[in-house]
Amino acid sequence: MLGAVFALLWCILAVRVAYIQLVRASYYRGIAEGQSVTRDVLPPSRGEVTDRMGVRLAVNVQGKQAGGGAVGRLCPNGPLAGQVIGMVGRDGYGQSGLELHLDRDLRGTDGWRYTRRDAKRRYAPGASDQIQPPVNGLGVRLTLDARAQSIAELALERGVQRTGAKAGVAIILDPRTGDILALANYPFFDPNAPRVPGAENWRNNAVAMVYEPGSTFKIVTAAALLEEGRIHPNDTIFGENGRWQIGGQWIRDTHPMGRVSFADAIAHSSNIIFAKVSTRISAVAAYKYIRSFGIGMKTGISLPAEESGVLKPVANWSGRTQQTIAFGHEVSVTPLQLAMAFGAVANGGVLMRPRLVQNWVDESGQPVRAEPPRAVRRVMSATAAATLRRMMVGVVDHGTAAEIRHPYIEIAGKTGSAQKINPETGRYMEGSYNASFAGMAPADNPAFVCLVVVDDPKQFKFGGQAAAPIFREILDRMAERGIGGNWGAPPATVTAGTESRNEDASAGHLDPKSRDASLRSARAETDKKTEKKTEKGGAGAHPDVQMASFHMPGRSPSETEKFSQTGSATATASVGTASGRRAARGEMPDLRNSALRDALMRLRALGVEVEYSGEGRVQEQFPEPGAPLRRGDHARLKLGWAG
Amino acid sequence: MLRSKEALPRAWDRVLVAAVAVLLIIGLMAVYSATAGETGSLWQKQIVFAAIGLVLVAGLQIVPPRLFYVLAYPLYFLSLIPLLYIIVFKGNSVERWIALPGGFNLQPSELMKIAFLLAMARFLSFQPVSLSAPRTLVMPFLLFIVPFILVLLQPNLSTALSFVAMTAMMAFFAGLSVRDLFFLASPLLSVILTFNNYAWAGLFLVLIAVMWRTRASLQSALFWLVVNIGAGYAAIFVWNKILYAHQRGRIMTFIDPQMDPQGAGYQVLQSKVAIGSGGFFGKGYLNGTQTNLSFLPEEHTDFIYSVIGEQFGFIGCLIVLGLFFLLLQRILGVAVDTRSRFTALVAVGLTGIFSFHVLVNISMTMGMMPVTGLPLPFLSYGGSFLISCLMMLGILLNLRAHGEYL
Repeated sequence: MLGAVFALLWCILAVRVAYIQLVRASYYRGIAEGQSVTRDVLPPSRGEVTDRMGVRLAVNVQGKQAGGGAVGRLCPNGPLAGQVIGMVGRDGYGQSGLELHLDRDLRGTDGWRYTRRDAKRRYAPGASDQIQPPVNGLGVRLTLDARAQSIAELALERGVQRTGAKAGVAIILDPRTGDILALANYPFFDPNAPRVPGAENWRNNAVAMVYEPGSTFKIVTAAALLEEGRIHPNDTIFGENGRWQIGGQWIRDTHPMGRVSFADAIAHSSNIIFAKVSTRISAVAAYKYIRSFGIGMKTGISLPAEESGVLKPVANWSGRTQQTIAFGHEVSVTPLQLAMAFGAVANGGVLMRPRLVQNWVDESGQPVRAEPPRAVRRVMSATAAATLRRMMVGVVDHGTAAEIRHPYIEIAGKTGSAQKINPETGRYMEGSYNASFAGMAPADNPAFVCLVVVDDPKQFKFGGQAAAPIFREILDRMAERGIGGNWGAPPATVTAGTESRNEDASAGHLDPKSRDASLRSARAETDKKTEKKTEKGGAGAHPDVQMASFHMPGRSPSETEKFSQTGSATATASVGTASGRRAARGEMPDLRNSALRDALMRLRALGVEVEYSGEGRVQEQFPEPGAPLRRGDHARLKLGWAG
Repeated sequence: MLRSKEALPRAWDRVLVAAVAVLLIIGLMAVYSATAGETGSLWQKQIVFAAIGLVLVAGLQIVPPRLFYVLAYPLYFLSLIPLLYIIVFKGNSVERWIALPGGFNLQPSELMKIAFLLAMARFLSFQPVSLSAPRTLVMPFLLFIVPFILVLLQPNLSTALSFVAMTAMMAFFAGLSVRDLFFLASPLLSVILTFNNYAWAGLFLVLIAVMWRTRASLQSALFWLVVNIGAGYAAIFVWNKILYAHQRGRIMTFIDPQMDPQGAGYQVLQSKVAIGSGGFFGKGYLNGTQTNLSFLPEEHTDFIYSVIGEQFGFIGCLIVLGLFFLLLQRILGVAVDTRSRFTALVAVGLTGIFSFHVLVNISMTMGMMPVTGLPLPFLSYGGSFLISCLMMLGILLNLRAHGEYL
């Protein structure tokens, strides 16, 4: 009997074993796998950041320096270009600056490994691992020049301290390519040091600060008037002896003037004269010029948190807005926007997209992807730009920035100082100014453009006193180091006499032997093209930027011809608003290679519905040019970047 | 009851010896697999324990069988001394052993088991017991209750319960009916069921029904009802005032294993995962992910069956179950075959303790019983228990061969 009882009990056990091991086997197997197999993430190695010469700006380090064994990020040059480079978090993801904006490419792709581990997280012996290796991040070569950056930062620091200002920004760029050579922010920020609580010095004010540009903005006004042919440097205007009323409010000039030439009005920065002449073009035309200079739009630089500035649409302009904007108020810009606008004046009239990334390289240093210079649009003719530069020479020669006049390098520039606006109240702050100076040298064929903005200087409130000396120091140091060519060499070593040097300037800067290696490689191709097209030299010596037709309204045919000869690579028929009016109604215009904005404007004027895809310039259009159109027809545009 | 010793010694039970040998080998393999990667190579110690046990088995074969009978009571009283020592000098610690020279520990409760088996067998061999004659129960009860209480106070609930298993089997063999055992066990059931009033009421209904059917005397009926009521209330008192938190926890996690997923419930879950993931053929020797990778705690002692289940699968589990069944059948066979009542009682007691360990331990590894810390004979790591099991088996083999007329 006991035997039978045991047999029954044993059967119960056997049934239970069978249930667990046969019926529920897969369930328990799943739990077992989940416990013993772990998925480890294999972090990729982050790409390095170098300047245009290969100077390492951000590298990976192992161990102590990074804090606790893990791989960390180190900026070997400390705060040099700190706001541009930015920080990487402990998790290996970029947090600010380039490290954030380019994080996807710099970081690479995580790998993984499935590993069998025991309960104490030790590797289990004999277990086969499944591995997907990580894809390491790409290295990036910037357009920054560590030498220029260092020059800009030192000069900025000295200048800001000299004036007792809060902060400052300095931007150096190559107007021919839009390459950003230096982007300095003071106070400095060291990505290696932990962020100071409350401090905002990690912000890159070159792209994030929005301010009223003041008199530096007169360059945009002058460009519009020149381009429209509504003014000539020798035209004389009455300066109202320094007091004039617009819209019931008084405006004053710091240098009261009588009847003076327009060139002198720029040199001495007369707000009254600019207010007076600004209405020679319509408000809409003025707005279009300002927009085409890139004001009110992000430049598209490879940096996070870029601001677009403020440009009110014409519909919201009051009676005096056009006149106020003419001398740089009621409009807000970022320093970079303004620098790029000056770049357009410097290179003969083409607004360039700021370029910060030159190319990407893999681990072995082989280039994998280049980011070529890109033109945004032509904003003025080369002749108008040359005329404007000549007037800007007067600013430094005998105008508001006369104290930085150089014995043999001809500087073109413009000072500016504008009362700061309290961001909380929206009112002007008494005694608080942004002092700025934007300049370029050599004036006839600028090798570089530099904008300096000093935030709230206490000692010298005006751009000519606070910002211009910083520019001058930067210019001197760059000339010494030969950055961007031998444009700064004393006249004796090049040719005798200022005049001949200026004439030869373009040839000089195009001579590959005299240029530094990296610039040469970057521009070798464009230079060749330019050489062919610019045998006449002078104003047209900007690099070939695949410009489309010149879209500025109201331009005279003779200027179009001139422009076609000197600058445009593809001299298609003029299709501005005026010519658009001329184009037969009901006929599809040739939009190829024009900017999307222009294409849309013209097609809408014809009452055509538009669909488009891609970004860049119009590559393909449907219907074909010349095809008959009816109101309400549909047109398709395909955009892209050619060549 | 001494008889003449003219009979020739019987040959060894080869099936029993083979079953134990295979179990020992499987046990050593499993212990090696469970502890090979860890420090303090326990599997080597286990081999030493097995060797000592086997030497003792051999040594026990040359002991005159009468000696077991003669020395049963003195041994019983001698064995109480180390138990008392533990209670008196180690009352505040959870240690249940006395350190011996050479790094070995003696568990007095294991020694007590052997002595108790012999003493109880000797007493019951000449004194039949019956519930209708309560006097006959007094001595067996005293023999039982003294070591039971001492072991329980160690505290070692699971070993104490193995005394219950031995006593019940031997008492049944010695004359108690199933009804008697039910009455005797009813206070224990009351202890469990008292926590649920409906279940406890149900127990009383069954008790009264059995009493009425078997025409129990009013006297005994009243006695058992009073004892049950007393046991029920005592249990609640003990639960609330006497039991340690870890003991309460063990019982509670049996009722709801999810209550303590990192403690005993975790062990049960991991044990089931190990066994279940073994499947039909197992993962192969030394290839267990759960046991070899230490996800299963105590895998070399209480959960050795899970190690076997994971690595040798359903086949291995059935083989082990089969070996134990075979072993118990052979031991029970000794009780049936022998003419000696003493030998038969030893065999029955051994059946009780082995079957109790096997049933409770294997049920525990599969989540059918609370985690009691009861090892599996011949398989689990642990020197004292392995040696005491082998010694009890050695005594039985001796008695089977020579104790026919004891």
